[in-house]
Amino acid sequence: MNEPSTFNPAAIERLCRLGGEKFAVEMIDLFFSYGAKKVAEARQAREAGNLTALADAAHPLKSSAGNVGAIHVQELAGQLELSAREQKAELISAQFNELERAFAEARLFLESERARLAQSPS
Amino acid sequence: MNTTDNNPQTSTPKPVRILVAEDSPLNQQVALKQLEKLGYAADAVADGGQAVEAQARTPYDIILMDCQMPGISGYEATWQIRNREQEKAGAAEAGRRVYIIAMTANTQADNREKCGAAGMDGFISKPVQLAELEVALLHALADQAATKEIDEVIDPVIIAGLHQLRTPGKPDPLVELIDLFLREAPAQLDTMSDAVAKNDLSSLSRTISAAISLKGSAGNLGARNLAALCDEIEQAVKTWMMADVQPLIERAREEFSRVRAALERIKKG
Repeated sequence: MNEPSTFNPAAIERLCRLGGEKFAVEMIDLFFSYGAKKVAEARQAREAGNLTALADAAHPLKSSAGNVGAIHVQELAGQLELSAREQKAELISAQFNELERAFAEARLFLESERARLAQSPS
Repeated sequence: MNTTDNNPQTSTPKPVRILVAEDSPLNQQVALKQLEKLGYAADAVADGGQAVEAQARTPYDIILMDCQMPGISGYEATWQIRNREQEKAGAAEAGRRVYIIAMTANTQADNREKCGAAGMDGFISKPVQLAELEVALLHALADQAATKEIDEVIDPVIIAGLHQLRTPGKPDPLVELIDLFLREAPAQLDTMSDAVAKNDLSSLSRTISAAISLKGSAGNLGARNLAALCDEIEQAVKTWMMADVQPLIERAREEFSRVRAALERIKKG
Protein backbone atom coordinates (compact mmCIF):
# COMPACT_ATOMS: atom_id res chain seq x y z
CA MET A 1 0.00 0.00 0.00
CA ASN A 2 2.65 2.52 1.05
CA GLU A 3 4.60 2.51 -2.18
CA PRO A 4 6.92 5.45 -2.70
CA SER A 5 5.24 6.42 -5.98
CA THR A 6 1.77 6.41 -4.41
CA PHE A 7 2.40 8.67 -1.44
CA ASN A 8 4.89 11.36 -0.64
CA PRO A 9 5.48 11.37 3.14
CA ALA A 10 7.60 14.51 2.70
CA ALA A 11 4.39 16.44 2.07
CA ILE A 12 3.11 15.60 5.57
CA GLU A 13 6.47 16.52 7.06
CA ARG A 14 6.29 19.82 5.18
CA LEU A 15 2.86 20.53 6.67
CA CYS A 16 4.25 19.75 10.14
CA ARG A 17 7.15 22.15 9.64
CA LEU A 18 4.76 24.77 8.33
CA GLY A 19 2.19 24.69 11.10
CA GLY A 20 2.96 21.87 13.52
CA GLU A 21 1.42 18.41 13.90
CA LYS A 22 -1.99 19.82 14.82
CA PHE A 23 -2.10 21.81 11.59
CA ALA A 24 -1.05 18.74 9.58
CA VAL A 25 -3.85 16.71 11.20
CA GLU A 26 -6.34 19.48 10.34
CA MET A 27 -5.18 19.43 6.71
CA ILE A 28 -5.53 15.65 6.53
CA ASP A 29 -9.06 15.95 7.94
CA LEU A 30 -9.84 18.65 5.38
CA PHE A 31 -8.60 16.36 2.63
CA PHE A 32 -10.89 13.60 3.87
CA SER A 33 -13.99 15.81 3.90
CA TYR A 34 -13.26 18.00 0.87
CA GLY A 35 -11.77 15.14 -1.15
CA ALA A 36 -14.79 12.92 -0.45
CA LYS A 37 -17.08 15.78 -1.50
CA LYS A 38 -15.23 16.24 -4.78
CA VAL A 39 -15.16 12.50 -5.50
CA ALA A 40 -18.93 12.42 -4.90
CA GLU A 41 -19.41 15.42 -7.21
CA ALA A 42 -17.28 13.71 -9.85
CA ARG A 43 -19.40 10.55 -9.52
CA GLN A 44 -22.62 12.52 -9.92
CA ALA A 45 -21.21 14.38 -12.92
CA ARG A 46 -20.12 11.12 -14.53
CA GLU A 47 -23.54 9.58 -14.02
CA ALA A 48 -25.16 12.69 -15.48
CA GLY A 49 -22.71 12.68 -18.40
CA ASN A 50 -21.66 16.22 -17.50
CA LEU A 51 -17.99 16.29 -18.46
CA THR A 52 -17.51 19.96 -17.56
CA ALA A 53 -18.73 19.36 -14.02
CA LEU A 54 -16.57 16.25 -13.87
CA ALA A 55 -13.46 18.23 -14.82
CA ASP A 56 -14.40 20.96 -12.33
CA ALA A 57 -14.65 18.36 -9.54
CA ALA A 58 -11.40 16.61 -10.46
CA HIS A 59 -9.38 19.84 -10.72
CA PRO A 60 -9.37 20.96 -7.05
CA LEU A 61 -8.99 17.34 -5.92
CA LYS A 62 -5.73 17.22 -7.84
CA SER A 63 -4.08 20.20 -6.16
CA SER A 64 -5.50 19.37 -2.71
CA ALA A 65 -4.11 15.84 -2.98
CA GLY A 66 -0.70 17.28 -3.78
CA ASN A 67 -0.68 19.22 -0.52
CA VAL A 68 -1.06 16.03 1.57
CA GLY A 69 1.25 13.93 -0.60
CA ALA A 70 -1.45 11.73 -2.15
CA ILE A 71 0.49 11.50 -5.40
CA HIS A 72 -1.59 8.77 -7.01
CA VAL A 73 -4.83 10.66 -6.38
CA GLN A 74 -3.17 13.81 -7.71
CA GLU A 75 -2.10 12.08 -10.93
CA LEU A 76 -5.39 10.28 -11.51
CA ALA A 77 -7.46 13.39 -10.82
CA GLY A 78 -5.27 15.23 -13.35
CA GLN A 79 -5.81 12.50 -15.96
CA LEU A 80 -9.55 12.46 -15.33
CA GLU A 81 -9.75 16.23 -15.59
CA LEU A 82 -7.87 16.18 -18.89
CA SER A 83 -10.04 13.43 -20.35
CA ALA A 84 -13.19 15.29 -19.30
CA ARG A 85 -12.00 18.59 -20.75
CA GLU A 86 -11.02 16.89 -24.00
CA GLN A 87 -14.41 15.11 -24.10
CA LYS A 88 -12.78 11.67 -24.15
CA ALA A 89 -15.85 10.01 -22.68
CA GLU A 90 -14.57 6.49 -23.40
CA LEU A 91 -11.73 6.94 -20.85
CA ILE A 92 -13.84 8.40 -18.06
CA SER A 93 -15.30 5.31 -16.40
CA ALA A 94 -12.04 3.42 -15.96
CA GLN A 95 -10.21 6.55 -14.81
CA PHE A 96 -12.91 7.45 -12.33
CA ASN A 97 -12.97 3.92 -10.85
CA GLU A 98 -9.21 4.02 -10.48
CA LEU A 99 -9.45 7.43 -8.82
CA GLU A 100 -12.01 6.15 -6.32
CA ARG A 101 -9.71 3.24 -5.44
CA ALA A 102 -6.73 5.57 -5.10
CA PHE A 103 -8.71 7.91 -2.85
CA ALA A 104 -9.68 4.98 -0.58
CA GLU A 105 -6.02 3.91 -0.42
CA ALA A 106 -4.96 7.47 0.33
CA ARG A 107 -7.45 7.57 3.18
CA LEU A 108 -5.94 4.44 4.69
CA PHE A 109 -2.42 5.78 4.43
CA LEU A 110 -3.37 9.20 5.75
CA GLU A 111 -5.40 7.66 8.61
CA SER A 112 -2.20 6.01 9.81
CA GLU A 113 -0.26 9.25 9.37
CA ARG A 114 -2.98 11.08 11.26
CA ALA A 115 -2.86 8.59 14.14
CA ARG A 116 0.94 8.93 14.32
CA LEU A 117 0.76 12.72 14.35
CA ALA A 118 -2.08 12.82 16.87
CA GLN A 119 0.14 10.88 19.31
CA SER A 120 3.09 13.24 18.78
CA PRO A 121 3.63 15.89 21.45
CA SER A 122 2.96 19.22 19.75
CA MET B 1 15.93 36.77 3.27
CA ASN B 2 15.68 33.03 2.94
CA THR B 3 12.83 31.77 5.03
CA THR B 4 12.57 28.04 5.47
CA ASP B 5 9.75 25.93 6.82
CA ASN B 6 11.67 25.67 10.10
CA ASN B 7 11.94 29.39 10.57
CA PRO B 8 8.79 30.56 12.32
CA GLN B 9 7.88 34.18 11.81
CA THR B 10 6.86 35.78 15.05
CA SER B 11 7.21 39.51 14.38
CA THR B 12 4.40 41.92 13.50
CA PRO B 13 2.91 41.14 10.06
CA LYS B 14 4.42 43.11 7.20
CA PRO B 15 2.27 46.06 6.08
CA VAL B 16 1.20 44.43 2.84
CA ARG B 17 -2.44 43.63 2.15
CA ILE B 18 -2.80 40.20 0.60
CA LEU B 19 -5.89 38.34 -0.56
CA VAL B 20 -5.96 34.61 -1.27
CA ALA B 21 -8.67 33.53 -3.74
CA GLU B 22 -8.81 29.74 -3.69
CA ASP B 23 -11.80 27.40 -3.63
CA SER B 24 -10.13 24.37 -2.04
CA PRO B 25 -10.25 24.96 1.72
CA LEU B 26 -7.17 22.77 2.10
CA ASN B 27 -5.12 24.79 -0.40
CA GLN B 28 -6.49 27.99 1.09
CA GLN B 29 -5.43 27.04 4.63
CA VAL B 30 -1.98 25.98 3.45
CA ALA B 31 -1.52 29.25 1.54
CA LEU B 32 -2.57 31.31 4.57
CA LYS B 33 -0.19 29.37 6.80
CA GLN B 34 2.64 29.83 4.30
CA LEU B 35 1.98 33.56 4.18
CA GLU B 36 1.92 33.68 7.98
CA LYS B 37 5.26 31.86 8.01
CA LEU B 38 6.68 34.47 5.63
CA GLY B 39 5.41 37.26 7.87
CA TYR B 40 2.29 38.34 6.00
CA ALA B 41 -1.28 38.54 7.22
CA ALA B 42 -3.88 37.75 4.56
CA ASP B 43 -7.60 37.42 3.93
CA ALA B 44 -9.15 34.61 1.94
CA VAL B 45 -12.14 34.11 -0.34
CA ALA B 46 -13.40 31.02 -2.15
CA ASP B 47 -14.28 32.19 -5.66
CA GLY B 48 -13.64 34.83 -8.28
CA GLY B 49 -16.80 36.82 -7.57
CA GLN B 50 -15.84 37.17 -3.92
CA ALA B 51 -12.33 38.21 -4.99
CA VAL B 52 -13.71 41.03 -7.16
CA GLU B 53 -15.98 42.20 -4.31
CA ALA B 54 -13.18 42.00 -1.75
CA GLN B 55 -10.84 44.03 -3.96
CA ALA B 56 -13.55 46.68 -4.40
CA ARG B 57 -13.93 46.92 -0.60
CA THR B 58 -10.26 46.71 0.35
CA PRO B 59 -7.53 47.78 -2.05
CA TYR B 60 -5.22 44.79 -1.65
CA ASP B 61 -1.58 45.09 -2.69
CA ILE B 62 -1.32 41.48 -3.85
CA ILE B 63 -3.87 38.82 -4.78
CA LEU B 64 -2.96 35.14 -4.96
CA MET B 65 -5.53 34.02 -7.51
CA ASP B 66 -6.47 30.44 -8.23
CA CYS B 67 -7.22 30.26 -11.95
CA GLN B 68 -9.99 27.69 -11.93
CA MET B 69 -12.68 28.34 -9.36
CA PRO B 70 -16.42 27.67 -9.45
CA GLY B 71 -18.59 30.50 -10.75
CA ILE B 72 -16.31 33.33 -11.79
CA SER B 73 -12.86 31.93 -12.60
CA GLY B 74 -9.60 33.57 -11.63
CA TYR B 75 -9.15 34.76 -15.22
CA GLU B 76 -12.56 36.44 -15.32
CA ALA B 77 -12.07 37.94 -11.85
CA THR B 78 -8.72 39.40 -12.91
CA TRP B 79 -10.28 40.85 -16.05
CA GLN B 80 -13.04 42.49 -13.97
CA ILE B 81 -10.53 43.90 -11.47
CA ARG B 82 -8.38 45.34 -14.28
CA ASN B 83 -11.45 46.88 -15.93
CA ARG B 84 -12.43 48.52 -12.67
CA GLU B 85 -8.91 49.89 -12.25
CA GLN B 86 -9.12 51.41 -15.73
CA GLU B 87 -12.52 52.95 -14.99
CA LYS B 88 -11.23 54.45 -11.76
CA ALA B 89 -8.22 55.92 -13.51
CA GLY B 90 -10.48 57.37 -16.18
CA ALA B 91 -12.67 58.95 -13.52
CA ALA B 92 -9.55 60.47 -11.92
CA GLU B 93 -10.03 58.49 -8.71
CA ALA B 94 -6.89 57.44 -6.94
CA GLY B 95 -6.00 54.48 -9.12
CA ARG B 96 -3.72 51.69 -7.92
CA ARG B 97 -2.91 48.46 -9.65
CA VAL B 98 -3.10 45.31 -7.56
CA TYR B 99 -0.37 42.76 -8.31
CA ILE B 100 -2.06 39.47 -9.15
CA ILE B 101 -0.18 36.18 -8.84
CA ALA B 102 -1.80 33.24 -10.59
CA MET B 103 -1.85 29.94 -8.73
CA THR B 104 -2.26 27.19 -11.28
CA ALA B 105 -2.26 23.43 -11.31
CA ASN B 106 -0.36 23.43 -14.62
CA THR B 107 -2.93 22.04 -16.98
CA GLN B 108 -3.75 22.87 -20.55
CA ALA B 109 -6.61 24.99 -19.27
CA ASP B 110 -4.38 27.24 -17.19
CA ASN B 111 -1.01 28.34 -18.42
CA ARG B 112 1.26 31.34 -18.30
CA GLU B 113 0.10 32.86 -21.59
CA LYS B 114 -3.52 32.74 -20.56
CA CYS B 115 -2.66 34.23 -17.16
CA GLY B 116 -0.71 37.07 -18.77
CA ALA B 117 -3.49 37.76 -21.26
CA ALA B 118 -6.01 37.98 -18.41
CA GLY B 119 -3.91 40.67 -16.72
CA MET B 120 -2.09 38.58 -14.12
CA ASP B 121 1.45 39.61 -13.24
CA GLY B 122 3.03 36.54 -11.65
CA PHE B 123 2.65 32.79 -11.78
CA ILE B 124 3.20 29.97 -9.28
CA SER B 125 2.39 26.29 -9.51
CA LYS B 126 0.21 24.27 -7.14
CA PRO B 127 0.76 22.73 -4.73
CA VAL B 128 2.48 25.97 -3.78
CA GLN B 129 5.98 25.61 -2.34
CA LEU B 130 7.04 28.07 0.34
CA ALA B 131 10.25 29.15 -1.44
CA GLU B 132 8.42 29.70 -4.72
CA LEU B 133 5.77 31.75 -2.94
CA GLU B 134 8.42 33.85 -1.22
CA VAL B 135 10.15 34.64 -4.53
CA ALA B 136 6.84 35.56 -6.18
CA LEU B 137 5.99 37.93 -3.31
CA LEU B 138 9.41 39.58 -3.49
CA HIS B 139 8.89 40.13 -7.22
CA ALA B 140 5.50 41.65 -6.47
CA LEU B 141 6.90 44.01 -3.85
CA ALA B 142 9.79 45.08 -6.09
CA ASP B 143 7.33 45.80 -8.89
CA GLN B 144 5.15 47.86 -6.56
CA ALA B 145 8.15 49.83 -5.28
CA ALA B 146 9.10 50.66 -8.88
CA THR B 147 5.51 51.71 -9.61
CA LYS B 148 5.49 53.95 -6.55
CA GLU B 149 8.73 55.55 -7.71
CA ILE B 150 7.18 56.30 -11.10
CA ASP B 151 3.99 57.63 -9.51
CA GLU B 152 6.04 60.19 -7.56
CA VAL B 153 7.30 61.65 -10.84
CA ILE B 154 4.44 61.00 -13.29
CA ASP B 155 0.74 61.34 -12.48
CA PRO B 156 -0.68 57.79 -13.01
CA VAL B 157 -4.16 59.16 -13.74
CA ILE B 158 -2.84 61.09 -16.76
CA ILE B 159 -0.99 58.02 -18.03
CA ALA B 160 -4.09 55.84 -17.57
CA GLY B 161 -6.09 58.39 -19.56
CA LEU B 162 -3.54 58.34 -22.37
CA HIS B 163 -3.53 54.52 -22.34
CA GLN B 164 -7.23 54.63 -23.14
CA LEU B 165 -6.52 56.44 -26.41
CA ARG B 166 -4.95 53.30 -27.83
CA THR B 167 -6.58 51.89 -30.96
CA PRO B 168 -5.90 48.33 -32.12
CA GLY B 169 -3.66 48.20 -35.19
CA LYS B 170 -2.44 51.77 -34.79
CA PRO B 171 0.70 53.20 -33.13
CA ASP B 172 0.28 53.76 -29.41
CA PRO B 173 -0.32 57.54 -28.95
CA LEU B 174 1.21 57.39 -25.47
CA VAL B 175 4.47 56.02 -26.84
CA GLU B 176 4.47 58.62 -29.61
CA LEU B 177 3.87 61.40 -27.09
CA ILE B 178 6.65 60.13 -24.82
CA ASP B 179 9.12 59.86 -27.73
CA LEU B 180 8.29 63.38 -28.88
CA PHE B 181 8.66 64.75 -25.37
CA LEU B 182 11.99 63.00 -24.79
CA ARG B 183 13.31 64.40 -28.10
CA GLU B 184 12.20 67.99 -27.52
CA ALA B 185 12.61 68.55 -23.77
CA PRO B 186 16.46 68.54 -23.67
CA ALA B 187 16.54 71.18 -26.44
CA GLN B 188 14.07 73.34 -24.54
CA LEU B 189 16.17 73.11 -21.38
CA ASP B 190 19.28 74.03 -23.41
CA THR B 191 17.43 76.98 -24.94
CA MET B 192 16.60 78.25 -21.45
CA SER B 193 20.19 77.88 -20.21
CA ASP B 194 21.71 79.55 -23.29
CA ALA B 195 19.23 82.40 -23.25
CA VAL B 196 19.70 83.12 -19.56
CA ALA B 197 23.47 83.18 -20.07
CA LYS B 198 23.09 85.89 -22.71
CA ASN B 199 20.76 87.88 -20.46
CA ASP B 200 19.32 90.23 -23.12
CA LEU B 201 15.70 91.00 -23.78
CA SER B 202 15.15 88.69 -26.77
CA SER B 203 16.93 85.85 -25.01
CA LEU B 204 14.72 86.21 -21.98
CA SER B 205 11.70 86.07 -24.25
CA ARG B 206 13.06 82.78 -25.66
CA THR B 207 13.46 81.48 -22.09
CA ILE B 208 9.85 82.26 -21.31
CA SER B 209 8.69 80.59 -24.55
CA ALA B 210 10.74 77.46 -23.86
CA ALA B 211 9.53 77.31 -20.24
CA ILE B 212 5.89 77.64 -21.30
CA SER B 213 6.32 75.02 -24.02
CA LEU B 214 8.03 72.52 -21.71
CA LYS B 215 5.48 73.20 -18.98
CA GLY B 216 2.70 72.30 -21.41
CA SER B 217 4.28 69.11 -22.76
CA ALA B 218 5.35 67.98 -19.26
CA GLY B 219 1.84 68.61 -17.99
CA ASN B 220 0.34 66.63 -20.88
CA LEU B 221 2.34 63.59 -19.75
CA GLY B 222 1.61 64.09 -16.05
CA ALA B 223 5.16 65.20 -15.16
CA ARG B 224 3.73 67.55 -12.56
CA ASN B 225 6.95 68.45 -10.72
CA LEU B 226 8.70 69.33 -13.97
CA ALA B 227 5.72 71.38 -15.12
CA ALA B 228 5.73 73.25 -11.80
CA LEU B 229 9.45 74.01 -12.11
CA CYS B 230 8.92 75.35 -15.63
CA ASP B 231 6.18 77.58 -14.26
CA GLU B 232 8.58 78.86 -11.59
CA ILE B 233 11.18 79.60 -14.29
CA GLU B 234 8.60 81.48 -16.34
CA GLN B 235 7.50 83.54 -13.33
CA ALA B 236 11.09 84.24 -12.23
CA VAL B 237 12.03 85.59 -15.67
CA LYS B 238 8.85 87.65 -15.93
CA THR B 239 9.52 89.25 -12.55
CA TRP B 240 13.26 89.76 -13.22
CA MET B 241 14.32 87.41 -10.39
CA MET B 242 17.29 86.45 -12.55
CA ALA B 243 19.42 85.03 -9.72
CA ASP B 244 16.79 82.33 -9.26
CA VAL B 245 16.53 81.28 -12.87
CA GLN B 246 19.70 79.23 -13.45
CA PRO B 247 19.29 77.18 -10.23
CA LEU B 248 15.68 76.53 -11.24
CA ILE B 249 16.84 75.34 -14.68
CA GLU B 250 19.33 72.99 -13.00
CA ARG B 251 16.55 71.60 -10.83
CA ALA B 252 14.41 71.19 -13.95
CA ARG B 253 17.26 69.21 -15.60
CA GLU B 254 17.49 66.92 -12.57
CA GLU B 255 13.74 66.43 -12.55
CA PHE B 256 13.81 65.76 -16.29
CA SER B 257 16.29 62.90 -15.66
CA ARG B 258 13.79 61.31 -13.26
CA VAL B 259 10.93 61.92 -15.70
CA ARG B 260 12.89 60.34 -18.56
CA ALA B 261 13.65 57.23 -16.48
CA ALA B 262 9.99 56.94 -15.44
CA LEU B 263 8.70 57.41 -18.99
CA GLU B 264 11.13 54.82 -20.37
CA ARG B 265 9.75 52.32 -17.84
CA ILE B 266 6.17 53.27 -18.71
CA LYS B 267 6.97 52.67 -22.39
CA LYS B 268 8.26 49.19 -21.59
CA GLY B 269 4.94 48.52 -19.84
